[in-house]
Parts: sequence; structure tokens; C-alpha cells
Amino acid sequence: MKIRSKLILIILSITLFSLVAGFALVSINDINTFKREMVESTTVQARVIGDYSVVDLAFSDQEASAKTLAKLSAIENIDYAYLYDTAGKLFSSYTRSGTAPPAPPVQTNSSEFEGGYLSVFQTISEGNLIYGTILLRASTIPLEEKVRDYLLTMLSFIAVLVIASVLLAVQLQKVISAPILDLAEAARKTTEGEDYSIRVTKRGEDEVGVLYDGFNRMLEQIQHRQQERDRAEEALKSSERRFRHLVEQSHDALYVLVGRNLVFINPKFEEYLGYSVEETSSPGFDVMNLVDPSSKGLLQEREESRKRGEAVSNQYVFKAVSKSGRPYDFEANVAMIEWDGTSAILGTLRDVTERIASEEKLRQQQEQLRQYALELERSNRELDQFAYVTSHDLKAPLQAISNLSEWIEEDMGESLTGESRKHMDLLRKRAQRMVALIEGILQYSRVGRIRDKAETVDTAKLLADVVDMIVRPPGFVIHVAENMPVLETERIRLQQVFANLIGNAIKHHDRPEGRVEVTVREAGDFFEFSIADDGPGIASEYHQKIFVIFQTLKARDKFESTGVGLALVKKIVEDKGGKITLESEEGKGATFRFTWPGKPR
Amino acid sequence: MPRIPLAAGVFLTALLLLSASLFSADPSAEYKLKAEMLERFTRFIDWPAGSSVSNPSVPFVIAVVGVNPFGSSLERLKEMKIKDKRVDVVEIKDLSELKSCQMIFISSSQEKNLTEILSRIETKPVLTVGDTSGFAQKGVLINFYREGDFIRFEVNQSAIDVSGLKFSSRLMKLARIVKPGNK
Repeated sequence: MKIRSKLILIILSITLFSLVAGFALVSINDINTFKREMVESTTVQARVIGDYSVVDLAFSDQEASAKTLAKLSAIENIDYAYLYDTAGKLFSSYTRSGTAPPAPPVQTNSSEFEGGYLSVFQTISEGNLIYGTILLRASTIPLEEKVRDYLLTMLSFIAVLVIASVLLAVQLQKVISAPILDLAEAARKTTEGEDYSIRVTKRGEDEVGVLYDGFNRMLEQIQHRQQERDRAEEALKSSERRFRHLVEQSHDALYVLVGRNLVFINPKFEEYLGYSVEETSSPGFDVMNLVDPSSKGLLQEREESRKRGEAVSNQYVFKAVSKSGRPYDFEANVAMIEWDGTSAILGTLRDVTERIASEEKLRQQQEQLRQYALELERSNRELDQFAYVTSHDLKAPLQAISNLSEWIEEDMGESLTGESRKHMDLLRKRAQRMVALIEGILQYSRVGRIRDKAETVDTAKLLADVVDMIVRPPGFVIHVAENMPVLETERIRLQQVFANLIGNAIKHHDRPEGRVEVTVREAGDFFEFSIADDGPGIASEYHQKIFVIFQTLKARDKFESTGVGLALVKKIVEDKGGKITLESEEGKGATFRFTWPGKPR
Repeated sequence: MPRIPLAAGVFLTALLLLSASLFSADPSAEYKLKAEMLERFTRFIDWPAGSSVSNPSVPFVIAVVGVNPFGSSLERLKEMKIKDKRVDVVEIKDLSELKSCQMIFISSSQEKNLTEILSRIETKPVLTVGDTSGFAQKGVLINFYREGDFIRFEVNQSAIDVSGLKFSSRLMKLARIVKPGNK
């Protein structure tokens, strides 16, 4: 029930109760008064008529008495009158119309309402003497009519008052209900619309006013808290969005493991393994179903270790099988977390199937490569051994042939013709060339196979020795720069490089007069030496070819060369970790540059 | 003020009613009733203030002039009180005694002396009662007469006015009013 109705009901209840009770009391009182007045007036009438009847009784004049009583006809409501003598015997009677009913037994002064009549007995006395008793019976119809009219008036009055009360109550209840209803409306608006910016304007300083203040304060607080909550919620939402995005877009599968169930998995997990979170979190699910039999041992071991309280690594790789049977290699990263109050494992799975496969392939390739390398090394060693042995063994007979040809020349002496002597000479030269060739091969094969100890080498001095040893036309100038360094290196190899390069510059020079420049500059841990000549130069098409063993650019007969020199130089430089390059153009000389480590390696 | 016991009143009334039904057969009953009525008259008549009635030391004297027809009936009145006074009943032989009476019953035997009796009373407040036809016309205040079985009375209004006595209207209601000089 609404407060308005309650107030109206309360007001009306009180009003109606008061009205009805008041009017009932007044009515009862008034009706009693009416009755008493009737009794009194009838009693007075009885006395008056009694007085009139005194002489009638005193002189026993019944005739006169009848006349006296007949005067009652002037009093309309008196229907019957009975006059008794002192003995209680009926003396005379009166009836308004018809015949009077038999007289009731006489009583002393009394009055009684009965059967539509008021009966009043009145003793008739005069002076000290009693003459008899009069009984008047007055009809109560006028009284009833009066009471009825009275009650009707009262009821209409009550009705008017009730209507007035209703109108007043409807109006006056607003004094109390209106502020409360406003408050209730405001409360309804705030709760339905969740609009806490509403404020109520109080109408007075009464208790409802205090309520208004309280309501406003409460709204203010709610609004404040709501704003805070909204901010927090927004922050939470955006954080959640970020995390959701992170989780959903993650290239790694994410899961939360509680017991044997995966209570949370991200889309990537579903994509990999084909299970939905409904399946993985159902009681019948066992996370071990996802694990390939070959990895089950590993995982069980981890689980047992964890149970024993031992430290387990956070990262491991295992094999898994999807719902459809597709195999995966996963790299798992796990961490202990709390999930809804229980301890759980948060894990990420990274698909490393390809990596594992390629690693495997690489490992296989490496293995094969290692096999190849071993084989190559063995065959190289065999080849070097062969070359050395062959060269060494070949040198001896050639040396013998050379020596024997000398001996034959000496033995033959003057008997040898010029032609023969020429052939002998040629024979010896070819044999010597063969020896040189073999020597070159030997040296070549020794490079990288046989190493001398490193020693302190003053390159300036080394170059001076080399220049001394080289046979050259008198017009040739070999100029060595002054800033030649002191190195810790294998002396003989560096000497071989310089001797070959300077020797080549002189040997292939096209003029009897020429110049060779030897310079140096530092290049990190290396020194870069350069040997530049002003000879005929080398066409660029031969720049690579000249470093290949047994390659010469000119005919053997015309030009004495083993074809080993530059190949040897290149092998030595590269064995030391350096590089050799050539800068040359036809007719503009050639510059060989090579790098050499400052420290032994 | 001494009161008459209720029982006495009831007894008297009963007696009165009884005698009313008997008097026709018995002539003494008629005077018994008339004796009662004499007493009743006093109840409805007031004597003027200053008369001997207001003097408590003297009795209320009822005098019978002429032959007393009441016998012993009047003696019973002596047991009563009238106007709160002792009642004395006397028989008058000498008309000179009339002055000290409050009520005089004039017997029919005194018809010839009536004028003299009335002249002696003159305007004194004395209630004169008779039971002889024509007495009222001659100046007697109350006169009994017969009407069938009932004893009624007549009054002379002008005589009453002269006497100074005050008759209750209720008493007058029962009385037959006569004019003086009639008959």
C-alpha cells in the first residue's frame, strides 16, 4: 500500500473513529435525553391530570373524572389513561380511540417503555393525602420519529464530515507524503536509471529534511564511489581487454592446469590441440591424453619431482598429440599460480615442431659434414703424403740423371760434339727444372702440414737478405720502405712469400731496367704489405688464373717457371689467415698486396 | 407538621366508597358520606389570611345548627386534623355562638332561621353548608343535593366572593353554580 493511501487511511480511521464514537456517545446521550424528556413531560402531564382528578377522586365522581381524563385528547401522543383509586381499583379510564385494553395492575411512581408505549404511573396526592394513581400510556411513535430524524440528521452530518475529512486528508497528507514521495521518486530514478547526479530539494527542516540531506549525502557518496568504480572498472576492462587480446592473439598456446584438468585454454591452444575448454575442464579429462607416449615418462617424472618438493625447471620440451592425432613438439614454459583459490600451473606452449625438425636435419647434416670432413682430411693427408713421398722419391732419380749427364760430359771430354754437348746441357736443364718443380710441390705440400716455430722477425732485415739473394739485371732497383715492422712469425714462410713476389716482378719484367717498391701499412691485427712493379702488367682476365698451381702465362721453353710460385704464396698467406690480391692493368705494372698477422697463429 | 398516615387516607377513601354504595339503603350512610365530604371541602377551600384558621392555638370548629342529622358520624372528624388543626364539633343552640366557628352545617330544621343565621355571619370567613333545597340561593355557600344515587353539591358564587373564602377551581368544577335569588 502506498504511503499516501496509508496516511489517508490513518487520518480517516482516526477521524471516522472519533466521529462515530463521538456521534454515538452524543446520540446515545441525546436519545436518552429525548426519552427522559418524554418521561418527564409525560410525568408532568400525569401530575397535571392527576391534580385535575384529585377532586374527582375526592368526591368519587367518576363521571367528572371521565371528563377530566378526556382533556388528554389535547395531548396527541397519550393514547390511554387509567385512574386508580387508593385501593388500586380502576376508577376511570381514557382512550383516544376504540376501547382501552384492560388496565394493568397499579404501581407506585414509575415509568417504563414497553411495546411502543411509555407507561407512567403517578401517585395522585394533595397536601398530605393520597387520592389515587394515574397511569398514562403515551405512544412512542413521535419519539421514534424524532430519534429517526435525529439519527438521519446525525448520519448526514457524519457523511458531510466524512467527505470533508476525505478531502482534507487527501490534501493534508501531502504535507507528509509529498516530500517522501518526491524522495521515493528520486530514489526510484536513481536506482532505475542509475543516475546518481540527481539531488532532492528539501522543503523544510523537519525529520524529512534531515532525510533529504542524508539522501543527498548518500547520493554524493554513491556518485563519488561510482565514478571511482567506473574508473577502476574501465581500467580493469582495458587491462582485461589488453590481456584478452594478448591471450587470444598469442602465438603461444596458453593453459591453466588444475589437477588433471585444463580450466582455461586460449584459442591458440584449441587451434593446436583441437580440444575446447568445455572438454578440457570436464571431470573425465586427463591432461596426459594430450601427451605423446614418448614424453609421458618425462612429464610423470616432472610431476613426481614436484610432488617430492624438488626444484623442476620451468622450461621443457615434449611431444604432444592433438585430438585428431597430429603430432606436435612443444616448448613449455610453466609457472605456479593461484587460480580461483587453488594452486594451478600456468603454462605456455610454443610450437617447436619445425625447429626441432630442422635442428634434427641440421644435426644430421652436420654429422654428414663431419664425416665428409674426416674423409677429406684423411684423403688430403694421404694425398700430401703421396705427393711428398712421390716428390721425394722422384727427386732422387732426377738428381741422379743431372749428375750422370755431367759425369758423361766429363768422361766424353773433347770427343763430344757441339750438338751432343748442347743436348746434354738441355737434358741437365730439364732435369733441373723437374727437380725445381718437385721441390716446389714439396714446399707447397709442406705448407699447413709442417710448421716451424714462430720467432721474432725483423722484416727490414729479412727483406734485405731476400734482395741480396735475388739475381737481377744491374739496372733494377728494389726499394724497401723504412717503416718495416718486427713480427712474431714463421720466418721461412714470410721469406718465401717476399722472395717469390719480388722474384716474379723481376723475372717477368719486360725491360732490363725496372723498379720494385715494397711498402707496408697496419690493418688491424694484420700488416698489409704491397709489392709493386713497373713491369708489363697482367690482363684482368688472368688475375685469378695466376694463383692456380702449374699455371704459367708464357711458354715453358721461353720462360723458365715451375708454375708453383704464386700458388705457393697464396697457400702460405691463406694458411696464416691473410689474403692476397692483385691490382694490375696491361702495360701499367702490377701490385700484389697481402696481409700477414702481427702475431703468430 | 404532623401527617396523616397513608393507611388512614386509604382507609378513609375505602370507607367513603363503601358508604357511597350503601347510603341509599341506609339513611345514616348518607350522612356518614356527607360528614366525609365536609372534611373534603376544607381541603379545596382556603380561609383568608388573618382569620382564626391561621391561629394554631384555636381548634377548627365545625358547628351544627339545628337538629344534628349526622349522629355520631361527625364525631369521627375529631380524630382528624383540618388545616393542621385539631377539630372540634359543636352543636349550636344559641345563634350567638356562631361567631367562633369556621364551618357551619345548617340543618334543614333551621330553614326559618336561615336569614338570621346568615346575617349573623355577614361577611365573616365561615363556610356555610346545607342540605336543603334552595339554601344555596338564599346565601349558603355549599348545598348538598341528590342526583339519582349520587350526592352532589351546589355553590353560591357571589356568596363565596362576599365570604372571602377561596374555593379551588377544581372543587368548583364538581359544583353546580347557583345565582342568588333563584327559586
